Amino acid sequence: MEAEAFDVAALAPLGFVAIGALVTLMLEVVLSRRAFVGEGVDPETRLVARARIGIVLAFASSAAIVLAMYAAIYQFELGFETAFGPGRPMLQLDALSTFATALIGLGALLSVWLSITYLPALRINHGEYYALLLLSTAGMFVLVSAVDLISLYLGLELTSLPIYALAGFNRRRLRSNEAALKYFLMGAVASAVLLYGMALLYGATGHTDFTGISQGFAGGGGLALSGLALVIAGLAFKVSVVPFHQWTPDVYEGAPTSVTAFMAVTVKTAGFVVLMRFLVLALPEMGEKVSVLLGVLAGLSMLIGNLMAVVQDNVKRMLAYSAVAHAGYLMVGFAAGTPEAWTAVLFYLFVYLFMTVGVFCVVIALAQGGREWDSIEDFAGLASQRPALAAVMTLFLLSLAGIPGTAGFMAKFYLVVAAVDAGQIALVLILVGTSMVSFFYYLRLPVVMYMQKRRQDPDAETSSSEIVVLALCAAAILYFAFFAQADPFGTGVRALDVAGRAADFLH
Amino acid sequence: MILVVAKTLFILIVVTLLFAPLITWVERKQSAIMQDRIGANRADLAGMTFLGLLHPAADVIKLLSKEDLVPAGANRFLHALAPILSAVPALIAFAVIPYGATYRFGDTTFTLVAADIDWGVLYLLVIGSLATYGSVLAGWASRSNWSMLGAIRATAQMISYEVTMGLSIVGIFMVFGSLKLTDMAVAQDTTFRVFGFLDLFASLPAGAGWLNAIRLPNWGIFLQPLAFLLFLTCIMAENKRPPFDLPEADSELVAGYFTEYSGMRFGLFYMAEFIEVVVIAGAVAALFLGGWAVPYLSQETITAGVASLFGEGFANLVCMLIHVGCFFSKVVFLVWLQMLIRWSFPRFRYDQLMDLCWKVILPLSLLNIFLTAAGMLLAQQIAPGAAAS
Amino acid sequence: MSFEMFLFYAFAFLAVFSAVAMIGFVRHIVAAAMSLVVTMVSLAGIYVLMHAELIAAIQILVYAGAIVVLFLFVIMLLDLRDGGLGPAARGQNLVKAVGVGGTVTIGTLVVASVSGVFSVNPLVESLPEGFGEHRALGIALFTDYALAVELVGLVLLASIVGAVILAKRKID
Repeated sequence: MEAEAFDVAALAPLGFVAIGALVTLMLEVVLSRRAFVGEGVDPETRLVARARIGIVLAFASSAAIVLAMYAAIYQFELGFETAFGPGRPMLQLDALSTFATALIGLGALLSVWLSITYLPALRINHGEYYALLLLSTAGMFVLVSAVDLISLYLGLELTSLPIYALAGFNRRRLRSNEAALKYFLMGAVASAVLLYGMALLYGATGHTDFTGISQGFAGGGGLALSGLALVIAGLAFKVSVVPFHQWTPDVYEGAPTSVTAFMAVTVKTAGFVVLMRFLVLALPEMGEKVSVLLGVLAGLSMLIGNLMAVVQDNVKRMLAYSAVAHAGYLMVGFAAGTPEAWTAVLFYLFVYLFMTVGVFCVVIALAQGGREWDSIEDFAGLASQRPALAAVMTLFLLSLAGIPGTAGFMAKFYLVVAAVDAGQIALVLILVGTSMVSFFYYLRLPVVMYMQKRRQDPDAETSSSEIVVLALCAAAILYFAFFAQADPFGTGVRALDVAGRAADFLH
Repeated sequence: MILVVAKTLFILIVVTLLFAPLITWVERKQSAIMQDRIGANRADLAGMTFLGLLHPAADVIKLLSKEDLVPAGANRFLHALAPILSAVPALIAFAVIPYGATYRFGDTTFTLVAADIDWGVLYLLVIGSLATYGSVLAGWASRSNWSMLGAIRATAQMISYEVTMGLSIVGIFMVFGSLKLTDMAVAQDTTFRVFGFLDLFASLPAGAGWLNAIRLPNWGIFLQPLAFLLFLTCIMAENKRPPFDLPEADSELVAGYFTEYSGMRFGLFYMAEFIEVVVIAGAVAALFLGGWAVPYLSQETITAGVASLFGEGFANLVCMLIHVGCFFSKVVFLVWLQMLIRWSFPRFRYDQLMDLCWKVILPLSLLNIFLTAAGMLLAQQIAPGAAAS
Repeated sequence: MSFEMFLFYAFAFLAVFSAVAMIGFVRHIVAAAMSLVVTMVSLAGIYVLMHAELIAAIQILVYAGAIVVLFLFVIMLLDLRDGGLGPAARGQNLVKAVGVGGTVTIGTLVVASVSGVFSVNPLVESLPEGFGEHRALGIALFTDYALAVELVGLVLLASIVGAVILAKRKID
């Protein structure tokens, strides 16, 4: 058996982040060895040295991610189309995977920038943070191009394991430990469910690759169907769809906020993309039954996510339930299952990235004195103290709520149109109705920020890296609110077209 | 079927009834010699001591006649199970080690090994990993602090050294291209040119042709000297004898995990330890010292030589006897070597033990794998069948 | 029933029984760990029946020989002598174990019999040459599944780094 040559160019994005992770890991060891020579270094010096090392590592990981994104965008523009894997295809590099790779890269990049000042503020500035973040990113790169159950599973584990650790990164905080443990245990169960489903699928069809499964599936059969249900359940856990969402609030609240932002945007993107590819490639003929199942999940997620978010008084917890609700909106697109719906889903994920990173960035900008300022009272009177911050926060929240004039509205609009076209009227009604409910909790924060008095005096300032992230997110939200389908600056790129090209991975 | 039973019985009897008692005697004598004492010479039969050879028999009688104590609060079932779990792996480990080649008598051929399985080396590792349970359960079930500490140490030590033991012999798999111990033994029944690698650079200068005549047996120890050292260290650490006897550590933990055992249950632990010494010797001989192979005299040479004088059937028999004798003399040598090591070195400290495993042996094993791969690549460049490593 | 089928059912029963015993009704936590060993070894037996000897060996080597031993190590380090498994908890656990195990098993059986898996022929009529041997497995791992092997390396790296950062004694 002659092994085919590895097409290294195809794996460039994955390679950049994986190597970046290794380099970051070693860099930390080398640098801290130089910084902490001798045992008698006083804590102050150590802290300063750590801060410097942290900046170097953040720069290194940003470089790795930027290179990966550049490679992905380049591949996307080339219309790259290749099945990767010597002997048998494990990964499919195409418009969808390169689009998702670039999107995840962007999420990871913004998360790294969020961490630069946040980690020292919480005194958890350890170099492993960046390595783990990069490893997880590598896992998502695998996930979005997986066309085989094996690479799907490995990608999922590579995505999740670093995040379990990252969720518990703030070891001094009990809630962070709880988050890590909870996420790990639930994630392990979800992995087991997924594996069991894969075993059933393999047993029923005799294949582990998606196309093979679709052929073996032709006969139908309960065994394959239950395997399918278990696989969907396992993936639904990762994207926190009801009823597999229970971990979400605790983990979102307990994890360091930069980690929450990272996993809120990237894991969701990777999970939905792989679910999309799996559904389309492995079950082309199962449309009807699966769409009912997905519709039920979508409806439940929208209802429970939005209703539960109303009663939260911790912002991160509220955003967790809002994430569940948004997963529900996205699932509406899955239930519709038309090419337009896939386009809308991808565009939604794209917009969702900016809103979510922006919101969490504001929470991060408030953190000071080694603790988070994440209860709703902590936002009281923010408008008078830091008006710009309050303004962008309001913008992000409005966008999350989907109010016209923000990108969030356009994302929802395309989704609704696609769902109506596909005849999912009931789901659309739920979507619109629960969105109304969501106005209540999203608008509660601006009310608190603008109409209440601040009780304590925060002396934290928004750092330059945070300003960059906030500005970028706010600009993107305003830009795509009006120019989702237009090209005012003559760049030749229209966001919706790009998403459409990515969604057209089936031809 | 009968053949298999016969082969199994043979090896069991030789190892347990002949070697194990003998080793207790060798140990006593060796320590006496090294410590300038007279050594075991008290047990006598009608005034004759037979160089202390009666001591093993006296041991057995003593152990069998002692009271069997189970400490209060111990888990009786696991307490009884532990010595069995300790002894059984030791007993069955020898099954895959070949003590002779394949011989043909008329129409029947047979190989002198109890179980000629495809993944023989892995079998040894599997058995080694299961042997851990004996000590762990003994320590836990005894409900004694000494035992518990011994068991914790045993677990950590055996798990750690198992990893490195597996890695240290990867080079051997690569060189011989097999996991089957009989294949390995056959491969070691040849010789190789020591200076074969010089072919890579240029033709030999005139007058240096004699270099080509220098040949060594194709044994693991010559092909993989580093692996030999690493493997020997690891497998001795697996057996938990000095200088790796931290789980027993008489000066700190009384007798470690089997402190609370007496009578024949203690005897089983004791026996398992000595049988393992033989198993180690057998495994090292099979992997690194050519097994049954006689240096410079391959099986064909011996058979052909004797056959030309006395006929073929007899030649096979002679060859078989020579091989079995050769194998067991290697085993005896290796047993003696272990005794020498056991009485020469002081016990490691616990951190030293772990450092040795994870910071010395593990990197060296990985380095060895890398070097072996590079060496084999080079060897392919020279010529098929030339020197490796 | 052929001898192989008999062995299969024997191993299968042993595996399921000791798995249930582990969660359900053994008294000591160490005994629970030992039940897990029995499960692992029975699974190895089933692998042998499937002509996957190497996987069986690795199953014992890794699961019975290393992972459960590590469980025992942790149990002993934490000195979980009576394990806090009171009779009430044990009873509940038994109910849960039997419940979960029974549901999954019966569910699978029902689904499998409805879908006619028992009547159809096996997917592979005859085993390829060298099936289950280390050589075939090694070649597959380093050609077809090379990428998967590399990914597993990254997964392991991630878990080691994660474990170290979460368990390191000193943080500053």
